[in-house]
Amino acid sequence: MNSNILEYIKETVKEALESGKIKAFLGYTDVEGIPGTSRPYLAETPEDVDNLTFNSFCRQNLIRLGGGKTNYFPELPGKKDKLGIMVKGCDSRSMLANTAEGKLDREKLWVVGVACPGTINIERLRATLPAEIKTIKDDGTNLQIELVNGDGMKLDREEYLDVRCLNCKVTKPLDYNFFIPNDTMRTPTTHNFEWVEQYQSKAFSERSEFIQSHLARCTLCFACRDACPACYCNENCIMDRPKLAEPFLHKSNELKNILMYHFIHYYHLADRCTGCGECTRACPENIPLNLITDALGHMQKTAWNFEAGMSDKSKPPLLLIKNEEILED
Amino acid sequence: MRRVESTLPEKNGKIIVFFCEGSLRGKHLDEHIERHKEAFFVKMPCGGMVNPVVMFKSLMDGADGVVVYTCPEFDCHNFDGNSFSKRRVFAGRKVAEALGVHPWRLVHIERDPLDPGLLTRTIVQMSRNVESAEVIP
Amino acid sequence: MQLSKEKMKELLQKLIETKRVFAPVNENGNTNFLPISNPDSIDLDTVRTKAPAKEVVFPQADKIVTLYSKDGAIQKIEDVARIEETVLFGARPCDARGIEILDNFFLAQSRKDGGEQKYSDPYWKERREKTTIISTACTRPLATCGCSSLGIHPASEKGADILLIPNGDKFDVMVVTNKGKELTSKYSEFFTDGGNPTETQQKVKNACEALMTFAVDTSNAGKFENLRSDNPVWKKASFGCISCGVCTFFCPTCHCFETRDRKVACDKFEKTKCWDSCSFNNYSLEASGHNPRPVIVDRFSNRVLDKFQYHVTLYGEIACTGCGRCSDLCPAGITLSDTLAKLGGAL
Repeated sequence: MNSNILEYIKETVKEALESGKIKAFLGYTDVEGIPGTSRPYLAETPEDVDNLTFNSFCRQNLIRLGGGKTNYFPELPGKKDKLGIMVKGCDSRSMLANTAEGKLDREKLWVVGVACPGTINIERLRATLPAEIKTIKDDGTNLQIELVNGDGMKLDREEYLDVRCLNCKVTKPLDYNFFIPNDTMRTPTTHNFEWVEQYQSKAFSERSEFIQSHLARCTLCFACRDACPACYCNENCIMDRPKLAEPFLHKSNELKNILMYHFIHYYHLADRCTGCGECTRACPENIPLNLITDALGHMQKTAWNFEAGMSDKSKPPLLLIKNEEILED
Repeated sequence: MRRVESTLPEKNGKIIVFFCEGSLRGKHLDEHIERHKEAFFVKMPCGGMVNPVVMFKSLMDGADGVVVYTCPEFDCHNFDGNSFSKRRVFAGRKVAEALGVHPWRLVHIERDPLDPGLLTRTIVQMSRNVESAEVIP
Repeated sequence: MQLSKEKMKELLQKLIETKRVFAPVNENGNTNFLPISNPDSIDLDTVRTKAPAKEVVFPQADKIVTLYSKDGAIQKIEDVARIEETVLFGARPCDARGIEILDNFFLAQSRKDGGEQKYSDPYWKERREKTTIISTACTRPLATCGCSSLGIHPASEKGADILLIPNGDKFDVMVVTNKGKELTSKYSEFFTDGGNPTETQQKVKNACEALMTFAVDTSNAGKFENLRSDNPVWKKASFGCISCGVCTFFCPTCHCFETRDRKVACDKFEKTKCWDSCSFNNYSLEASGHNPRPVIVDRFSNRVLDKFQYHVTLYGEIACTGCGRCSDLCPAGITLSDTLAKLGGAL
């Protein structure tokens, strides 16, 4: 990643904050002490802007932070008050999907779109290294790593990309107010569902055994629900309402309860999942939830010729009652 | 421990039929109940009322298959409830398949005035599938 | 006393015959404590398992009682009797210490603040008494390992019954408790004489601590009594928290649970003790519909203060072992060191 780009982002944001165009800016900052991780950060004054960062270790979907119970967007009382926000390609799809469903006020956002180089799965990288990372740098083709024991190494970044980035269709944001170009942007793939078809051509029993052996590790911590930008039911979520959930779901982590929870989660996302891969990223047990989300994306495309989050006008097919309404879209 | 009971309910041959009250009634309903001892018939105001979450819940609680039986296409009494239901069950089947649960266990059929034996055939076929499968995930 | 790696497998084989043995098993690339039937399946190379070892003594879902009606009266089966003799093999010092810290909460004792805990949790007590913990020292820290800041170190014997310290292709055996002594004398044929565990322990500790990069500032623990959740520092520290249960479910010292009833048959039901998490929205939800901790900041502050304030005043110990799972697994990138640094700055 070119450091000039970060400077460019900072300059732009600082200018916007100083001129009063935006009230605050939501971006990323480095986590101190742990190289290769980042966390969301809200810059409220021009001085805060220096803490901002953007690199391929910025993995969170910031649109999630604008919804209901996890609302970190500051209050914008004035009519013209805006919040600056940094979005990657996949985040922009979540933004458009939430706008289409009326859950996000696009008018209140000043969107800085960044061309995405793909994000690095740092956990997978750490697991393969003999010692811990002291410094890590991503130059667009390689990861330059210095280890705590003094060794240095160069690794191919393509091998450590998040799964969602391997078949990414939208590396350039679809909707933005200000675009930051990047020479290391990934080339979008056009055949993003090819591997889903390959996977689905396997025998059913094999697929079933594979996913259920992974799901058996689930502890029902609900990280996949809470990280999902399309899950905005908040305290109305059936899993959070003991009275409602009791007949449905006993809290113990038996396989049938785990499957029940994941069915509820992914059935409600069936027509709305944008494939941003946040659930897969958030899962502490590394369950390959991308198998489910990509199957949903494939279903949307083949059955309804619909892709969630590609425009802020199209309504999800299951929200429409009549058949004709889909055909028009 | 971590996996308290890692097994799903064993197969027991039970099938649940959610039917639209407009599509199956009177003599026909009695006939079906008489004919299919393995099936439970649940009357719904409209096929569009059946949520796939409830269907999946019945699978997880021991049923072997769930059938939703609605009115013929373009003949719904409740604003296209049948096609809405069809779409929902289709999505539910896909999610179930992705989770490793046999998609044939969730079925949506529409009443066909020219084919009165459709529901019977579906239930019989489902029972055969259950019998032939050793385990039904 | 020493134990060679081949003898270790034979010892495990012997233990499996009579007891339930839990050991780290690598399954699909994820290591967790699982009951083993074959000593070859264990994985002692992984520094830190995904889930902590607490679930051996405190399972996520623990069926505690079954009630059913017979001859017009209600009958009861208590499941304490079903708990078997268990060996927890290959726990890390942070896991063993976590179980020791949890004793404070679950066992009857007179507390530091003058209060009296009259009752012990019978399920915890029974499991704890029947569990022998054999822990192994760490030779390499992870990026988020910070146990040295929290009263233990990578080769600490705290909480363990037997500590195995790697020394070349052998383990130096440190017997810590009576339970450990019993086990080593019962299976004495597997152990050989020689080795100086205290010396190796110091050596391993120094070598491992030299590589440790993560440090938690715990000097302010117990001084946060005035730092309530309305303090603006909490908003800064918890920024980005999505209120999932990762930090609590994967914490070796988190102990919240609730009991749930399930109808099994029309005249039979089970009561299950299952984990709960203070970061969930419905954790403190009252029957009236009122929620004393409606926003994330409240729940986040409760979690941190519980470990670094309330536990310190009640029991005189910090309820954290520095295992670093919360910092490592947090989807929002919130780390313990950052949180405590921010809190320290606000004092």
